[in-house]
Amino acid sequence: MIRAQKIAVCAGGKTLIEDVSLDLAGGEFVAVIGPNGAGKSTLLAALAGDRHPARGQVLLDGRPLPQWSRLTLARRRAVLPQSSAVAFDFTARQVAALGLLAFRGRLSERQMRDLAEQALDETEAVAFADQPYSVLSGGERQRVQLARVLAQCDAQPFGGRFLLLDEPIAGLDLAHQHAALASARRRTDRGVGVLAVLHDLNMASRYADRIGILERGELKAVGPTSATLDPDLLSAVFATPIVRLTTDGRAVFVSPGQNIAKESPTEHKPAGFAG
Amino acid sequence: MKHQGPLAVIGTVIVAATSLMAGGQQGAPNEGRPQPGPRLTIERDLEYARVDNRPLTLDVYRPDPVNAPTPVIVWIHGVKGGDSTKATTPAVALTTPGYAVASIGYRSGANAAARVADAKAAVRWLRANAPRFNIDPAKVGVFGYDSGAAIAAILGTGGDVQALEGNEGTPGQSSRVQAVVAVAGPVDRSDPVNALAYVSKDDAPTLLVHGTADSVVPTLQSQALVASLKVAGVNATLDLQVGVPHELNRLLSPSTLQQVTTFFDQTLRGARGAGGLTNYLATPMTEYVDPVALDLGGTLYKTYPTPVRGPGTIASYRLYLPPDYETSGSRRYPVIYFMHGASVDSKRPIVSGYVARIDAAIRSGVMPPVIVVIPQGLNQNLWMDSRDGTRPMESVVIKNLIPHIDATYRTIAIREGRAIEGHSMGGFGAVSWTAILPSLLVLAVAVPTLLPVAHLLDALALGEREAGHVGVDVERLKRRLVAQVALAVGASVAISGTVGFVGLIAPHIVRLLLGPSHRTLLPAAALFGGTFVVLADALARTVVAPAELPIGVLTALVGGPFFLWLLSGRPLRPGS
Repeated sequence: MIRAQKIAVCAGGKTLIEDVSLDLAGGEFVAVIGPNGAGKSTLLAALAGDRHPARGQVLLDGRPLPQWSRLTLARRRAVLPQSSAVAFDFTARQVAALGLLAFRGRLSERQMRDLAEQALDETEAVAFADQPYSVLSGGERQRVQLARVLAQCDAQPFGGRFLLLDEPIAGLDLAHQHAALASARRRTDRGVGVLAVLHDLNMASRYADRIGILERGELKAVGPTSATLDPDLLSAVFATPIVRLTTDGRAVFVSPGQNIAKESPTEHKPAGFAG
Repeated sequence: MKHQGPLAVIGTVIVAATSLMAGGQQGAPNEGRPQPGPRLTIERDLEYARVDNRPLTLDVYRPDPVNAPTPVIVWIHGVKGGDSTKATTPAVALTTPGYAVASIGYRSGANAAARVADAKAAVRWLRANAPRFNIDPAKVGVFGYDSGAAIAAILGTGGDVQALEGNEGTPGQSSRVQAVVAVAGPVDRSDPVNALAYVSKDDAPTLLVHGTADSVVPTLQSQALVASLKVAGVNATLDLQVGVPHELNRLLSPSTLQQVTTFFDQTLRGARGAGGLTNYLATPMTEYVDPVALDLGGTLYKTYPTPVRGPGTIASYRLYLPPDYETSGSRRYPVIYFMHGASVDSKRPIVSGYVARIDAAIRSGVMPPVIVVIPQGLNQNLWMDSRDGTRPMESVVIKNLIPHIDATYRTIAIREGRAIEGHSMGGFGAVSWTAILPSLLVLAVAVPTLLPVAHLLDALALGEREAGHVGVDVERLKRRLVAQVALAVGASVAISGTVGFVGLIAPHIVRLLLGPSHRTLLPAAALFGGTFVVLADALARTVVAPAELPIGVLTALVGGPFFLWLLSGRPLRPGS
């Protein structure tokens, strides 16, 4: 279990997140949502061990993160970053295989090759696996990076493993968005704990067991998906009206925007709006 | 700093010169060499006293000529191992900043009282013969190593002790000295004749040098002496050299010799602050003419007219003539033009030992006799003509200096008889197994141990943070790489000096050919770089044969355009 205990992260004299406590257990999918600048990536970086909290601490299986070696951490959790630049002309296949670095010597060359290949297959990246990473489109790069992370996760067959995904579906088309989150979701069945920073409420609602809502560095709410995705709370947090509809027994969230929000008594018309 | 303008293609027959720059094992010329250097007079085996019908002798080293009487420094050798004669002396290094040096022999097998009596007799004899050597009798320093240092220290503290004077040699002169430098000297309290026994407040200023790894004479003995001198109010300093054993060559490093010179400058010449060449180097940089118009370190200070700059203008240079120049009749010599680097001037090749190494190499037959010319260059545009024409340095050298040199000295006045030389002009002229083997050992450790981290280097392409995510301890990897690369580069430069652009283009070319994976890139870049250098060297030796191009010119010809293409046409980090 990864546990954040009342952590605060500061940078440049500014407090990015404050007093955040969050548990990520094996086998669950937690989605973190919130407006821009709320501290979602900061929280993920703190859980990954990239940022050291000024107050509080992050524990993995009860031990503070700094006490784990880089190598052991790499075998326990994989991290998908937002940025996706790779220096020099490595091929997509080589980039995916870099996820298995921590398992060199434990796995045979063949096992590692197979793991990377399966992951590339899963993200439908085999077709361009031999092309230089630098010539790929943004969505294709994202799938290669995801394959790298999935391979790293799959290389450790047992023990508590975690996937920390920062906006894993940014830049992907709808089909690949579903495929990516389904890949993560499938791994929860094998005991992997997944934490994903998401912007799409419907995707969060569809795939997450629990939701954490961050606003201005504070965790506003955390709990089961259906209870936490409350339209009033979401409207307040995102500062735009959000309505929940139901179709085929599933909740669907729609953000109609300011101009057509006439029926909402709490909204006032923008100045100069003639109606 | 590269000096590879059009001047660089003057051509050369003197390959060895390049190598001497890089190798640097030879020290300054000293007693092991057959003859004195230019501007240095040595008189040997002068008898200063006679004991039991056997002569006690000394050698006098003098800078020559000098305008005024110089201070004299008495060198007292040690008795340890091969250092047990007056022939082993740092005298030449002290004549460069203008000191006369008397290296004395003495009864090294006798007891302390007899040794001290001999040294005192030598000091009295030098004072009595001061006019003959043009030395200043009021300014006598002593400088000793090992048991010679013990004697030097006793001369410093026992200045007016009649019981120490002995009966030999010249009477009627003082044996008091004005400065003491004692290197790794013992202070034996069990012998009544020891430096501590005579400490008083009027003792000579003293500099003690001692290595902390000295297993022959405990450091504590120098510490006790310096403490005692300080308590008595004497100007005393102890320079503890960390990790240095009881070896003269290690103790008297160039920087320590500089410190000793500075100490003598302060105590015997009343200089304030730093002295010697270091002090000269601190003089403000001027254009064309070095204001320190002194013959330094075996070179002559000369000027030449520079009509290129206008009528009546001059510039200065320093000139080294080979040892046989005066006696070889009509023999003509090749000329090395040594172009100094930025922010220094024509004194730098003397300070850095370049001239001393050339001199030693000629005397020992490693290289043929050559004339060395060290022009004074400008600091801003160095050896090129400035674009606005106000600083025509290159034209001055080509049109004024070279014709002046050829007209004034017996030079081989053709293109093949001239070499250009400068720091950072590497090459392979001096490569021999003796020079390579030590570096090869270092390379044999540093390079193969890079291969196991190849895949970690691949991971760095993801970015440092992401490399951390996949298990790389980036900070540790960086520290390791910096250490290994520094070792490998240092070992390579020790062999060849710096040859530009090879390290820049080899990895990039190999990466373009074989892809970025470091498992192939590292060994392939090493092979490619080595092959490239061998081919460039072969070309450098043949295109203008019998002269040789500096290899750096060739590698720059290939590497410069390649690098520009790499920068402009092809982004180094696609996708970022």
